[in-house]
Amino acid sequence: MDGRSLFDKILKIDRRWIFLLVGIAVVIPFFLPLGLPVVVTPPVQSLFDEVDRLPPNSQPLLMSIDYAPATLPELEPMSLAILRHAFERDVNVAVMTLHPAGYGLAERALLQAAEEYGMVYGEDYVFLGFQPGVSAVILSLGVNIRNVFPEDAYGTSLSQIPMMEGIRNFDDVPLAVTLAGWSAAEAWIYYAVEPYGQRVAAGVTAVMATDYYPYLGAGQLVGLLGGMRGAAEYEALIEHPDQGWRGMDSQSIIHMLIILLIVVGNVAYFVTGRKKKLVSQG
Amino acid sequence: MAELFWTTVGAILTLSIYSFLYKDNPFYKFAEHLVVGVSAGYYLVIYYWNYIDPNVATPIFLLRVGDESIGFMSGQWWMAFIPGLLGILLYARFFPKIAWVGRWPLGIYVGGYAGLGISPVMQARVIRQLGANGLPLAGVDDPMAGMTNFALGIVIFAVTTYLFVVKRSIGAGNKIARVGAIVLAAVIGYAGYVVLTLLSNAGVVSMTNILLVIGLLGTLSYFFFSMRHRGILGGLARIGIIFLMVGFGASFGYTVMSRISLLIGRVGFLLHDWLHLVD
Amino acid sequence: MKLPGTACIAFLMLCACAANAQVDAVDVEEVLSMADARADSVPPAPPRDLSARDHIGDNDSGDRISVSWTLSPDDGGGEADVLGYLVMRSEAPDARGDTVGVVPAGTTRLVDDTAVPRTPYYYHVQAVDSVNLSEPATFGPVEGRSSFWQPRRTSVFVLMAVFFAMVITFTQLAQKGASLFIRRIPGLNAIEEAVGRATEMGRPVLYVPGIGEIDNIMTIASLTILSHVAKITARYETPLIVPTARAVVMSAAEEVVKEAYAEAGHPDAYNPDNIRYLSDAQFAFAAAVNGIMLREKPAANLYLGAFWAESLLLAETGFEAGAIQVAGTAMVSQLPFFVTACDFTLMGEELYAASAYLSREPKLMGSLKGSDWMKALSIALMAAGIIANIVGWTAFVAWFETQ
Repeated sequence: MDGRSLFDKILKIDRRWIFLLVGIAVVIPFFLPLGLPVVVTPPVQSLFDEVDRLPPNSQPLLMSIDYAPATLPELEPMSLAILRHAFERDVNVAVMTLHPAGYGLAERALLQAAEEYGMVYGEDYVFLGFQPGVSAVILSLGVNIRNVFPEDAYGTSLSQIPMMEGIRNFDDVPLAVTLAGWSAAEAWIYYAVEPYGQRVAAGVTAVMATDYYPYLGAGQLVGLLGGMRGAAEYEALIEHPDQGWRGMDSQSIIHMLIILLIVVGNVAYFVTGRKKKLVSQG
Repeated sequence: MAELFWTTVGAILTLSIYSFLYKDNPFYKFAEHLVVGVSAGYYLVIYYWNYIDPNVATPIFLLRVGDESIGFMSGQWWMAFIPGLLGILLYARFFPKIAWVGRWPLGIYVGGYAGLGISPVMQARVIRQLGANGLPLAGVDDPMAGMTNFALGIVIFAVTTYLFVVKRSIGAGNKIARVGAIVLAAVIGYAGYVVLTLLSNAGVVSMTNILLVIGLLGTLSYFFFSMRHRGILGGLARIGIIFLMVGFGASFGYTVMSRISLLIGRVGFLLHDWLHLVD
Repeated sequence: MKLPGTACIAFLMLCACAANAQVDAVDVEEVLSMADARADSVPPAPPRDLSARDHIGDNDSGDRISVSWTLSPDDGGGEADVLGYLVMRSEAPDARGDTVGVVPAGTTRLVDDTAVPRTPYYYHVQAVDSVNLSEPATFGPVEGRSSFWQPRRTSVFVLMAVFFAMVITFTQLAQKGASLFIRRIPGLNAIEEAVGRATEMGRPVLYVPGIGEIDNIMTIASLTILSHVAKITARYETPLIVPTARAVVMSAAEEVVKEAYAEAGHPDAYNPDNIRYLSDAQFAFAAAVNGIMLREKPAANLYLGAFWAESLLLAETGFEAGAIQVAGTAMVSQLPFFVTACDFTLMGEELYAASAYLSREPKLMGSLKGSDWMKALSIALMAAGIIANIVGWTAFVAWFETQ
């Protein structure tokens, strides 16, 4: 068989075959789990250590659950893992959101985790709700939380919520974690870390993760979770495997498939000698 | 029962969107329009009850902030009334005769947010990064040394292969000599890796920091438009573009991972939440 | 005032434990060691000239108040039995209030850093001997206020001032018509070559100005380059197709292209049907543009502006159709896709530089030159930082620390 025509065929393959291959590669590990190991990376370990150091039953962990349904599979496992870690250690948690769709999703994750650990609303956790205006909201939180959230999401005044007693602003919050698939994570750095020196960690989608490494390197973030992989690593650390960890098998297989396709495609490209006119770069 | 119904609705909509992979079709169009409409409605309700009601409507009309009463025309009342009024004036853009009125609140809004943003963004993106990039190049612990040295070893191998095989055409026509040249290049690459590891372990140089600084210099030089790319600047710019491309490759890979994760999430929803085929 | 001796000592110890004063830590042992065991029925004289004022310091958020006084006459003189001073704070002039701190004898000031900003306080200071407390000296009201200047943010202020000065200077120069040099962006050569090829092959040029709104700076830059491209296509009478995703952008593109054709001297060659509004919906727009590519077979595809996830859909179809493609965007997440699928990509700031190069508009020129020299300054500062690290001059790098 003429090698060149085989490679030509490969280059011209209908993309829908590739979709089918990927689809199969996703589904199989759900039925035949491979149990591939998950190695923890330093940025995730950093965040885990930070949450591990938080004082129980004292100043709260502030979680800003800012994702929308579009990025749910990557970010919800993160929020559940962090909430579980906090509740396991009896750390108080205050949850807020800067995205309107985050309202329902934050509540969902919070109530699920709280129920698993038998946490009591008002004493162990509180849901502050949604406020639009990202930058103004974060800046105001640094002055007084009650300026932004005079009541919780259910209409109860903060002065009647036991765990928020004595919690005035960022001075009383040892760690803030933002989980966002958009620029809200950056906003926390601009408006909480820089003006107030607040310790902030971020969980972002993998698309955005590369943009946040400089902040991690400069010490502006104390921890970073990137995509479903980050969630899987955190779940491994708290020894509570869930959606993130389960997705890793499919992720690994598809990545290998894609690497294979890239290699084959490149080989085919060079072998067939297909040259596109390349404009000289000055 | 209700849950099964809504889960099925969700599953049907998911499959409708995925049908686009085969061909554009009415199911896809319907699902896309549905999500746009439902999001708009949902956001409107959330915005109203979480923001407009407690911060604007209740103070102005019910004279109450949280559980405290405020006086009519008191300081707090004006603080709710004036922004509320400005917000309504934004809608003047729909009436051509008074559209100019809408420019004032827009100006306040844009100006205010821009002003709020300039200093923190400058501080976070530029100044802190400048401080962090004045890195010590030697005599520090390098936690990333292993990976960096390995990568540099591979780079040395690739460059040596290029020099031998392409530039000098060693073993042209002789397959064994060509393979030999590649093996030699691999040995040189490995030797480079060993030397760098020794240097890192002795703490003499921090290759990661050096690479970071070179990359930063190169990339900044590439985007410098006030001088022609000649001489040193040109050389730095070429180095910069190489770093940029490596960065784009990493970004591409991360994006692929992200999109696959979303697919895995949806398939998990279909198999687990809807069909209960897996646990 | 008379108090039993042990109670007094216990009181002192309690106060010492409660104190978080901003002076040398109270050494209770030291104070107690000075206690004279003999009974003393004469209270010491109170401290004199008590005053309190807002304390100004680093990162001052208004929670510090500096309290100072002159020594009690019985401290180091007179009865010479003063052991220390008890500082208390209240919000009403006649209330007892809470303890702020205890300081040993010979001290004349204390900084209270637990004040709530903008709350008026009254400070009461009493001299203490082993048995008795003096009459309180009272001063007030005094409030803590945050300071106007944050010394630790000086670096931010200086660098921002420098940057703004540069931008404003260059904008002024550009407005006065001074010639400011910008090197020719290679991407512009690529664009012109692409248009030339389309002309040779007698096929149209497809120009997609992104899916951003008209107020998106990338769309604005794209429209400037569209004007340039339109002049070339007008001259060679190559059809130019401009699909848009926003109605306002379509109107702006129509104006731009019409004017460009007029300036090039071919107003009749302008075809308004080629400037099309397709759809606001992201993927519907991409599907429609793909349709144009497959039906009208443009030989050159130019993607310049703000793109999101549809970028790869567009670029890939164009690649398959065999067109020469040039892209330009500042959306960093889309650059990898354009780089892989297009023949040439203007990355990030190159798009703005190309637009400034073509239009020479003063504000664009000013900000481009300003940010250019800011980059040069950044390189210099970074090099200085590295040298400072080698030389061991840590103060330089510390100046950039803003916390």
